[in-house]
Amino acid sequence: MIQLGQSSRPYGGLEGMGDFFLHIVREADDLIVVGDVGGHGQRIVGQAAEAVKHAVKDNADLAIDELMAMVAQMRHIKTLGLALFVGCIPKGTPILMYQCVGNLLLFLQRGDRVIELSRQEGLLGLAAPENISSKAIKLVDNDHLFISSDGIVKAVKQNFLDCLDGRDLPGAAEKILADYGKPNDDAMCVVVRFIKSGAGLGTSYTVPSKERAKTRRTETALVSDKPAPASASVKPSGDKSDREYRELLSAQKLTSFDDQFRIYSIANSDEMQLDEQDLFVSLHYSPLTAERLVALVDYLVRDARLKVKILTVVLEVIKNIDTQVNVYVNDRFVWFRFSAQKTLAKQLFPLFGRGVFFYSENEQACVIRLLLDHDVDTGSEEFSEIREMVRFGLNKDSYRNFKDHQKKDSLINQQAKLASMGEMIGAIAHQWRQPLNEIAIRVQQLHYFYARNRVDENYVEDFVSTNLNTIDFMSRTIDDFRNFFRVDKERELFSIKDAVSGVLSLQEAQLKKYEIAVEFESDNYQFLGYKSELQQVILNLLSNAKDAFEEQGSEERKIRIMCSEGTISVEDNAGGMPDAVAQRIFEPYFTTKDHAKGTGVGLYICKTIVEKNLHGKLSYTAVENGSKFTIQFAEQ
Amino acid sequence: MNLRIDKKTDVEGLLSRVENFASSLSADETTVAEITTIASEIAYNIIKYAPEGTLSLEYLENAKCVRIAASDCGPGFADVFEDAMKDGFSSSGSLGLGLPSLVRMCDELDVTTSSHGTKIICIKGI
Repeated sequence: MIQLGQSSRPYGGLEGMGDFFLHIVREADDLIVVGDVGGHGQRIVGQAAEAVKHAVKDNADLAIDELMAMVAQMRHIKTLGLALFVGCIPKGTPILMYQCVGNLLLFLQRGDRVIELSRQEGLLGLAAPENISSKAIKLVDNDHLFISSDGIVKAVKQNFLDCLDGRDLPGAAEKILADYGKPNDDAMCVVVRFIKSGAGLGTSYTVPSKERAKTRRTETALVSDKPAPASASVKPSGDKSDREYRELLSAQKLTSFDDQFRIYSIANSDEMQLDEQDLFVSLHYSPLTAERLVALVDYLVRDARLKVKILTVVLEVIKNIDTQVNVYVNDRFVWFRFSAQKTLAKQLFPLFGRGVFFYSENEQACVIRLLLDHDVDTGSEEFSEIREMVRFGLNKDSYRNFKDHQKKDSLINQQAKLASMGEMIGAIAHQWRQPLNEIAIRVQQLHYFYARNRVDENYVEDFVSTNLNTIDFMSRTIDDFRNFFRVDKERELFSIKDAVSGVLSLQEAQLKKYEIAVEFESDNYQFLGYKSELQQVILNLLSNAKDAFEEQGSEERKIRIMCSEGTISVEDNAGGMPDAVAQRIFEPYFTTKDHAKGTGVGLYICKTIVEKNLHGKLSYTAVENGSKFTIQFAEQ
Repeated sequence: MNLRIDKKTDVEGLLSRVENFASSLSADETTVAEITTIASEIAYNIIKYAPEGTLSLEYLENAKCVRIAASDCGPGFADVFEDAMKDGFSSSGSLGLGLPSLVRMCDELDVTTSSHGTKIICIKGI
């Protein structure tokens, strides 16, 4: 339901006013028309506006696009041009449907939010757009629609709530006109409030009878024309005597049947009030309805004759009356509930008979209640599958297909996970090979040293502490990798200097052993991200440099780590690598090392970590007699 | 995710992907089912009435909602617009666009149609 306020002020005399407004209460909806004829103050402008109003009133049963097309053809409009909004808000559905061409102000105020409603540039009659779009916008309770001619300044948009504040709608419209109306133009504005009816969607509908469907566009509706505030709507006289007469006639013919209908079908409220929890599905006409319904009835109803009967009736109801059918199921009954007028109910009643068919005159709704002839377990998987199938409008075959796809998709997800697990294991193996080797050597040496009586207290202490250190490092590697694959870890603000220092201290023993000198310079750049992952990358780069030194048998071994303003470079003098190799180093499983040493995941993982988890770039450049890896973080 | 739809589109596969996407965002079965149903209604409409179209689903993190946008370059339905949008008031019953169900299921709906094509934007809160 809507409420409406309107206000207008001519530039010159009323007879020269080109802005106009109509609110027509039609049987199914509220029609709102706002227009602004080109020019102001001239008599012809006012006449054109009046002519459009009359034409719309006389043809108020037309659809929006038909009204637009009709007005565009009018004589004065073709010379003066017209900005026009034609919209309607149906009584059963919370939407605004409209077409709007020309320079009108149009928006929706929803809570604190202003929603711009689109309109098309141009002028009806003079320079209309080639194609006029129809628009539909879902409305929510207490939405305010604002429409005005360009005689109201746009600033109203930001201050609409203030204008509304505590006023009724006509008052608000007056206020807007007073505060935002341009002094040198006709000005007019309309404020419409949408109030969602208590019944809500999907519970009750008024359904037009078949007679109405045929003649719906000939019944003229209620018209209000005065551009005066407040009482904009006038009640119609309405001509229903013909239909009433016909109903009376048919009622007389069916006296005995009528009695039956009255006695056996009229429901008490228990039969009409269905538990929302049992709502299985709501059906309305769509390309999928028939398939949905067949699947549903196939599952619920075993009796072949009943099956055909219910299918026919429900499909007819959905298709021809185009109403929604709600299907409720519990473990004893299935209910079909839909809106229908009494005439239809009378036709349907004999098909099902007493105890099965119910009709409520107040709610104008029918309920067909069937006792289930087999057990339906509403908690079963089959039941939920059928529900899913019916909801998505899939038949049995396509539902099986759908399920296959679901399986495939989850398999692909699983495989992606396995692949990264594989990568992780490869990477851990890569990280572990060196420390494991160290431990093995130390253990083997034990025999040798013992035989030479060199195992004293100092030796044991040293043995224990170095091995524990190595084991500690291995355990940390696992933690680091586990962190890498955890998705829920938190980003933290950390200093790059600390992160790199941490790695260097971890690697101190190794670096010493291989006689590698490290030069490290850093500013205090702070980075928001995953510290352990950056460390993992640095660790990998160091370990690669160390391997390169070993391979080359370099004499002077130097690694230079420079950190400055979000760039970390790791440079060595281990001889570099050929171009062909350099081009492939970031590929997974590419390695130049023999299998005992490398699996080739190292640099690939590094690049992945830097790009995906740290949102940076990892690049390689050749330097004189060496390699340089650079990590460049994105601006934060 | 962006999906292209034409007459040969395998709707079941498409729906499975949509459902997968929806269930990665919400654990609530009804929400997942409704998002999938919205996609289903739109996809079937495009297949039935337009030569081809696109459907895209996007999670808007700030607003905690899914934006389902579809467009096609079919003939549109401006000529039967009001009947197609209204619930229970169509005169012929042969329209069958299933649009009222979109109105019911989504939180915000914006439909634009002309003889040059149709655009639908649905917002569904998660």
